This record gives sequence, C-alpha cells and structure tokens, in this order.
Amino acid sequence: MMNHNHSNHGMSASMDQVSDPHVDHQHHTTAMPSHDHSSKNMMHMTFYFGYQHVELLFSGLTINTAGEMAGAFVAVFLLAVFYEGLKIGRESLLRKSQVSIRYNSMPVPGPNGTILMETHKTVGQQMLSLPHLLQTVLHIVQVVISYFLMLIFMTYNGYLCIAVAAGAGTGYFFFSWKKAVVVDITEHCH
Amino acid sequence: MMPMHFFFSDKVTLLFDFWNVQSAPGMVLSVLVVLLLAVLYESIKVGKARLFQKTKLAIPPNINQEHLLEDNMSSNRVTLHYSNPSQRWLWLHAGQSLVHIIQVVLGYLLMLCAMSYNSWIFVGILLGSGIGYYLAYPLLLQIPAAATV
Repeated sequence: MMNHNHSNHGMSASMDQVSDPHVDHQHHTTAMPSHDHSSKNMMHMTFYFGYQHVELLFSGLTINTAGEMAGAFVAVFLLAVFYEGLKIGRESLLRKSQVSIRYNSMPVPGPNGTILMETHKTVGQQMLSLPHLLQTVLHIVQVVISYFLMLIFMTYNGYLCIAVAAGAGTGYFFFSWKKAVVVDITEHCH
Repeated sequence: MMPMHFFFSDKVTLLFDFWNVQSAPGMVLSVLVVLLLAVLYESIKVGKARLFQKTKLAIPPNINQEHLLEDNMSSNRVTLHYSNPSQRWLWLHAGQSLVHIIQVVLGYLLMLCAMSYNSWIFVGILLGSGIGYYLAYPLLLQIPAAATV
C-alpha cells in the first residue's frame, strides 16, 4: 500500500506523496496520533471527525479504517432511511386497519336524524387482532432503531451524525412522497 | 470525568470544543442560546406541519396559498394557475425534507445538551420547549382557518 520509504525522502519523493492519495491519507492519520489515542480511552464530549477507535453500539463493532467508516456511514444512512420508512409505513398501516374497522361497523340511526356508527368489537378482540399485533411488533422495532440512532448520534462522531441526518432527510423525502401525493379518503373522518 | 447525575455548575462544554463555558455570564449566554434552540425546535415542528398542509394544497395546484395569506385584505379569492404545478409541489416537498433534517438534527443537539447533566442548561431546554410550544402551537391551529379561505 505504501510505496514511500524514509531513505530517499527527497524533494521529488515528497512531490509524489502529494499526488498519491494513499500516502496523503496516511500522512493525515499520523499527523494527529495523540488525538486518536485519547479517543481510545475517553468518551468524546464534543463533535469531532475521525475514523479510528470509533465504537459503534456493540463491542465487536469498532471502526478503525476509512473503509470501515465508509461502510458504517452507508449502514447508518440506510438505518435512518429505514426508520423514516417504518414511521410512515406504520402510520398508513394504522389508517388502513382503522378503515377496515369502520367497514365492519354498521350505521345505526341515532337521535334527531343523525346516524351513529356502531362497531361490534370488544377491546379484547381488538387487542388480539392481527393488525394490532403487527403494529406492536413494528412499534418495538421502531423504538429499538430510534434508540440505536440516538446512541449513534451520541458518539459525537461527525461522519456518523451526518449519516443519521442525511438518512432521515432522504427517507422523509421518499417515503412521505406517497403520503403527500395520495389525498386520503379517510382524512376527514378523524 | 463525565457526570452521570444532575448538578449546578457554571462550567460546561456543549457540543463543540469551542463552546466551553467557564464563567457565570457565559453560562447565562449558553442557557439563552439553548433556550432559543428549544424554541426554534418547537416552531420548526409547527412550521413543518404548516408546510405539509401547503404541500397538500399544491397537489391540485391552482391556489397559491402564500398569495392568499399575504393579500388577505385586498383580494381574498385570488387563484393563480401555475405553469408547472408539479415542480412547485416538488420544491415544497424538498423543502419539507430539509426542514425535517433540521428538526432531527436540532432534536439530537438538544438531547446532547441535556446529556451534559448541567441543571442550568436543562432548565434552559425545558423553558425553551415550553415557550416554543406556547407560542407556536396556536399558529398550528390557525391552519384550517387559513386553508379554507
């Protein structure tokens, strides 16, 4: 990977170093070893940009190279996108199940000419219903992911924080697309 | 090093290395900044909801909500037809996504400030949220009235 040695550290060699991205990149990491060393033991309390000794949620997941950071960036980005999708998906799923409950209900004539909707479902039945169980499972997944994203932001690592923010924005852009386009027929009912 | 319980102190480092408070006036300033951030967070939430309403109105895009709001006194029922309505919708949607990013980031920043466990900062966040909610929420309720013009 490195093709520069210290014996001929001449003018031309240093010129080559600048042109070679790998050498430049290596140079960058050696320029601040003390900073990286301190991050190994101490928890960061302010924002920083670095890709060494970044622990990501689990003890086995420690980022040490730029490539790993790039991978983590993509993974965190996708997690944030997924989180936004899950939020909006759950919302529309809930609306759908509410509509189907409404279809089950029957109109009953109420006092002074109004029509009341009567649903013949007890609370226990609603708790055992499949949509509700699905909502519960998805809610757990959502809580877990939201805590993960929060903990990732809490690392104070600049790259990972940008990944979270960019993922949230991208996810919102693409998933709330449908929500904004489709004019809900149920919108006026609640 | 890192406190794990609430404490009152005029020394705190918030978010960035340069935001290093060592004195009482600095702490007052920091609390004010955090308070304003919390107010901003609450108003952004409401602003996003308003923008969402506007985006929805842009789908059958022949009414310009802004013009309706601005020229409320002079001409109440101005309808403007857009040459490229879907483009306007796209811009509103993109703007909404951007506002969402700002909201997410601000929320996390406030969480990190609260995580400093400095009680003054925490009080600032609470006051800011309260003030922000108090000021911004009535604006949200104005939406249906404005939308039915």
